[in-house]
Amino acid sequence: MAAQEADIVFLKNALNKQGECRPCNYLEGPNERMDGCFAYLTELYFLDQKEFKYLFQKVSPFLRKPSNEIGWALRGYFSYLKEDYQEAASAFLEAIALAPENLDNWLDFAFSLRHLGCDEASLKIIFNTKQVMKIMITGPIKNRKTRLIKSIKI
Amino acid sequence: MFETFVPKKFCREFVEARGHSCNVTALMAVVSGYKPCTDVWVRPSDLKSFLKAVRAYGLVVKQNIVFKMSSRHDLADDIVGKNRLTTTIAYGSRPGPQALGNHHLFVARSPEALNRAFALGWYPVIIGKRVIHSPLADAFRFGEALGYPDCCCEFFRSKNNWNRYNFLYEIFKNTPQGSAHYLCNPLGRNETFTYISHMPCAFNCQATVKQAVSFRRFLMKEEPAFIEKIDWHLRLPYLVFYERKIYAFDGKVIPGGIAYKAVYFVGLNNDFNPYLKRLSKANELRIEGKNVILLKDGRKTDCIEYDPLKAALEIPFTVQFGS
Repeated sequence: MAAQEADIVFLKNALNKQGECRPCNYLEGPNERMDGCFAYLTELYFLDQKEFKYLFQKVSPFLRKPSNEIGWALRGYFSYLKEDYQEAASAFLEAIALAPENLDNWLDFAFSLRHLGCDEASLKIIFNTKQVMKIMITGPIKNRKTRLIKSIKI
Repeated sequence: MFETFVPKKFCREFVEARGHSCNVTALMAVVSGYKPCTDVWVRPSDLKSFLKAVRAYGLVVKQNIVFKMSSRHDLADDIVGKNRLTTTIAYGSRPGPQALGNHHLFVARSPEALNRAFALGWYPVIIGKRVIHSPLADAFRFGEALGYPDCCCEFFRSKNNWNRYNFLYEIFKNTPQGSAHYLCNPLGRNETFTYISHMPCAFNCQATVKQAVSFRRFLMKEEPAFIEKIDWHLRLPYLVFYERKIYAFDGKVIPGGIAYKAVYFVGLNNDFNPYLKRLSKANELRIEGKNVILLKDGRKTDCIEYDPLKAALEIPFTVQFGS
């Protein structure tokens, strides 16, 4: 139980830090991935359903209307694990909008698209990450998501 | 031993198209409905004839990316994540006339099975300057999409962690001594002579035996000569270091090791074959802790020492599959 409480505190703290970003995995950076939370939740989901459900129950109120990147990413993780890839893709796209330089969000978005049959868009993100990132980083903030969707032809 | 096998008729086209028989039993299992889907690598020059064979057997196919295989020591230092690459070390590119390497294809009987396996079946691959992994959840679900038994998928999820475990050794530990069943032998699963293409949860996994028995029965009617060869290969004594470093012997298991006349590397990639020459010079091996002692006519001549700095956790063990 102690471990569960610690996990919940960690997740709640992450979610409550309004406007604060999680560490960014820059494209040119040295890390494969910065956020280990997705892999951790995946192991719980498959290997310890009881703890996963407990954790989800505690965190789910915070995921209804996420206010920051972590919240959207977490919503994406939970949706992905439940194989609701449409919801996962939407959540990861929101996370991208808030932190467009974070590669973790982009890859999670790309693999959600792969599950939705949007193979071309998924590959575009994976193989042309820099160019696709530019769409979200540069130009007016307004309509960034729409521009991205148009550009990668989702 | 471990040579290409050309079937008399059934699925012969796949072997002719690719010029080798690796994974042919997986394709046979898909054609005959014993497996929902499989994935294979096909050279650009073989693609046309392979796709023709796919169509001839009424299968559906979907192309993933192109893999240009590489070796660990050829990788540039600045590739992010290169040390975590395990069985497949390759650069990925998008399919097209410019792409260099082997096409990764998914082949299935139904579009549903195909799309599911395709979506889940992303192998870690180098793109640009970094290794791209799909979410872990995909790897955890991929086995189900390929028709692996539930118990084996579960075991994979808990033990297939290259940083913590040697997966084959975990399977070995999960097998009661002396009960390894030849139908559960996965050591040549990427080669020709095998009935299964997955890692079982134990070398006597009953769900795996059940799958293999029915497939073998089917194959017996189609290609009896092939059955004979597969059975023979599966029952050889093996020395296993990890998934890519496996040797088979013309010999017999003795207490603590193997006495042999000849040794063969199981695999096509010689990057993973550093010991063949040394093993060939001896005619007996013994496992002592994590070291392999080599003997010639009863006298110790060499020792393959355990190296904890290797990229994969290597724990040598010997096994011979019976029943």
